[in-house]
Amino acid sequence: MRRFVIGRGRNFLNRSHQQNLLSSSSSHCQSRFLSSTSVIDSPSSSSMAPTSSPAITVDSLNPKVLKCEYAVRGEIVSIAQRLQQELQTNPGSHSFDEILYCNIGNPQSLGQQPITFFREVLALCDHPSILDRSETQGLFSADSIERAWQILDQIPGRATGAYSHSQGIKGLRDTIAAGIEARDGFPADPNDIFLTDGASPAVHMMMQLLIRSENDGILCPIPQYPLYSASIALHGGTLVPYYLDEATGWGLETSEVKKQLEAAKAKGITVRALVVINPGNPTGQVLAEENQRAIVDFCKKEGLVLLADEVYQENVYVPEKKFHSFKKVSRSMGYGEKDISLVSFQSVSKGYYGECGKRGGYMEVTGFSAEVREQIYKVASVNLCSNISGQILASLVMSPPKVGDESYESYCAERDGILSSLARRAKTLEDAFNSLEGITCNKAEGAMYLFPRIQLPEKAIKAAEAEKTVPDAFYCRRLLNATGIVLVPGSGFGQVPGTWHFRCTILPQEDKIPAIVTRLTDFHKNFMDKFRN
Amino acid sequence: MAPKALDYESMNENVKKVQYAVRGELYLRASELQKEGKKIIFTNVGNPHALGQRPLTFPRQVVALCQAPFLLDDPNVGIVFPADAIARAKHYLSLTSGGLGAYSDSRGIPGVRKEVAEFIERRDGYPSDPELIFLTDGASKGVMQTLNCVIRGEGDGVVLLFHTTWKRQQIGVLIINDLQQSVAQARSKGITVRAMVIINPGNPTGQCLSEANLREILRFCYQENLVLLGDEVYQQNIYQDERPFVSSKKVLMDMGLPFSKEVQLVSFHTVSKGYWGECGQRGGYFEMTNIPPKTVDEIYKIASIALSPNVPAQIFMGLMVNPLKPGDISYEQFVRESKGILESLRRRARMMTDGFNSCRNVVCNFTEGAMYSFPQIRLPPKAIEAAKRAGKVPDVFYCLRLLEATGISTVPGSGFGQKEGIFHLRTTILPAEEDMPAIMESFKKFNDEFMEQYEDYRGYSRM
Repeated sequence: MRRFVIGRGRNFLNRSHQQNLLSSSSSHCQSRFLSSTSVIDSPSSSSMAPTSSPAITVDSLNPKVLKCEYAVRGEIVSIAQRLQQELQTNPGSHSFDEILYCNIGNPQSLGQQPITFFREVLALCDHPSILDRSETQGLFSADSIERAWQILDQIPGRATGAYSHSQGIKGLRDTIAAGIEARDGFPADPNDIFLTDGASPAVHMMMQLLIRSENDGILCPIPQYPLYSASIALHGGTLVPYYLDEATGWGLETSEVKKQLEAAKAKGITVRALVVINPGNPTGQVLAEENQRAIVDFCKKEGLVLLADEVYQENVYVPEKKFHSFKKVSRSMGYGEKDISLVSFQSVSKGYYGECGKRGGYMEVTGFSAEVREQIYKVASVNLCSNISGQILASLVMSPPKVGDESYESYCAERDGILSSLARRAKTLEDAFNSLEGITCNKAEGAMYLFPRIQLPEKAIKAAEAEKTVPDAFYCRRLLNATGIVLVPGSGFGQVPGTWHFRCTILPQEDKIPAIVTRLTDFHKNFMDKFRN
Repeated sequence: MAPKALDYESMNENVKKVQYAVRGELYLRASELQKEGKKIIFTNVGNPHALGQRPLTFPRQVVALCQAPFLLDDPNVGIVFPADAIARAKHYLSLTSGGLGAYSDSRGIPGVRKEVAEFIERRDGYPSDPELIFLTDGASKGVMQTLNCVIRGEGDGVVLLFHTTWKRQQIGVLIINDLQQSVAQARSKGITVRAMVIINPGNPTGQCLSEANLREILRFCYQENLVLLGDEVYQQNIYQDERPFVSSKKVLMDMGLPFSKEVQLVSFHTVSKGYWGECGQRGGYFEMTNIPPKTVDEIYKIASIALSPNVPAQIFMGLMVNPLKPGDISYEQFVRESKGILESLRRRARMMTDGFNSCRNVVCNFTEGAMYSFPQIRLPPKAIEAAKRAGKVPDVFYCLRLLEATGISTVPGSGFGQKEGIFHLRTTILPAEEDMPAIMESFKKFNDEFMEQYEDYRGYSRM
């Protein structure tokens, strides 16, 4: 797997640094304070007692910042943006006429339409003064007007521009709790819910609480969504990888997790939590319930916090699998607050709603002591609150229109249209990848991605090494330059050493898919012709 | 069963150390009392809309249209929305890459950042580069990102400017003397001082720094190689005419070489304050000056992990920095609304200052800017003793008593830092103008009775 180490060390010595012109210790070169070797060690500035201060240059930055990586918007995207600019200023300069961003789960940037009902309610909540006008009824559905009133009544003073309670508006948390209960069949407490600007800040909060030093480890699936590796790096902890089994559709075996846990302990790491992404990113697998029960038992036995990333809970494309929340699974096993510490993350960015730009989400926190919850609240309060519009949207996602509501049928049509289209695109792309020489692709049971494995010929690997590039990045870069298609190299997510993958979203609009398949196929054939052993 | 992985003892110590008084003990007690049915006046946080300030109409119209772009196709949309709002909504939608529901560039929509740059240029008279402007979910996120880059470990220090006790005429000399002392002290303890934070206009004091003050501060940062973090979120909230707002960037550029090319500066702004008060949107930006490209790259990398700031707030920011012009249909209403708010804030600043100064043992500097009043409460020794017996910091004790008696929820000065033995509380000037007289009367009644209760002739806490 990719080693999450400093890749920039070699750059430290190459740039000029700010000198303190007035300091008598200018010869000290204080801005070299953090040399490339000391970045790997834990930073301790008390080893030198400086009389002056290093300016803010890359070598005097927090080393944790330097260490972390996030491939989804990494190097390949910078290249893509450059190419896009070139296409704009110099049309015809490339053999393709547009960049196809298949790197990021950002559905609406690729033409997916938002759910009308949700946007109606949000617009009314943004501009409530039109609710008093009769003309408004001609522009908006009756139930969206009703829902907007209901929501505004839950907001003190109907002030959507005011900071709310730091966990989010109480009435909206009530709605979300009711939605969780309807989904799971087990009650949810609105006081367990923390609304956040997307699921990502909630993940960061938990990492901040759990990680005291690099001796604290967090078990993460490999491949994983690189928010986890980045967050662990930023908070100074250690990522403890457990490998998903590609041969069994990216299966999660607790025996493997146990093995990794023991290995980490033997190295002196205190393992604090287990991250499970279900449905998986980048792998797309949906866990079977019995698998989930084994995971819950494992966490209970080992005293681990279970961090359940469930942002793709509404993206399941195969009839033989169903999403079950870890909360439901735990409760159905008879486990309550005293038995298992569980944090469940949900977001408005995925599903069929795809509202990435709104930054809405929440975590449901159960099985922690009152003192811990106070601390979680305290951390949330420093940022005051998450954006109100995102909070409202989270409540809508967890309680969409019901049978009998005016918007119900159109809502269902929109939702089902999007989900069935996603399922079709997942299948089309999966088949396309599987038809390419040396590429095998597991089915995307859920989420928004395909993670095909590519057997790169030795010649290609050598060529990559010559360019000082990781082989899967080498492939992706060439693909991008030849076709305009942007994928993310598998090394950005982690993979079994010696294997190569890339992640491709299933999000381009259906009418673009044939062209993508053609371009990909042509490129791959040429690539293999060139590099075949 | 193995012990729980996360209990209070096994939590990150840094989290335990964190305090955020604005939503701390007083706020929690106030919330409890509110649940019990007591009427609470929340003056603990700069949250104008929660106290009745109305949102400006035009931005809400524009964002509503952006939320529901299908409205733009409706032939009747012009009945409910003015033409300039419709045009602006189309403009901002065209700048996005898929409407409000798509992640934008991690630094924010390029077109909006360009508008921010143009605003800065108009304000300061110096060019501003959109590539060095990052939009964030509120200025707070930007501050945290920046501090996270600067602070490597507990060996790194950040200077915070306290100017609570300075008299106007002494500020210049005092700032630098105090700063030099603090920095020297820190260094003698082995701390590497990396940065300095100024809040201008100040929070909680409201003081507006003069150009001369800013020059001294920038010169100091140059000498000591500190990056200056300039929190300028209250730049629209100025209640006197002697010291208008001048940005740290402008002063820095005015100083010319070598300062203008050497001093590192990060400036913060927001849609939460000013006369907009759109706290709930979480919209802000920071602008970097003299930060090396590779460092900017690292900051961009961190921003990209969060994918993007929320898009609706980016549009609010665009609207704030690129306001309506004379001749626009909605211009007059916009000006009327804005002026109304600002003039009322100015009046309320005066009412509150005068109200506090009329109270026994209370001394209050005039709120020159921002949104707060920070009166000094001279607690009699007996009160301080009573606080100790109750296990409370003296100003917390006072503020709790104030809360129980009047429902006014403030933030004790100890939450902001103050000199030893000197006590303050922070309140906002945001309650509705018509409620102000009653609030100040209620405060006076409580305070004067409190002082009556605890006074003796042994002496007081004082400056």
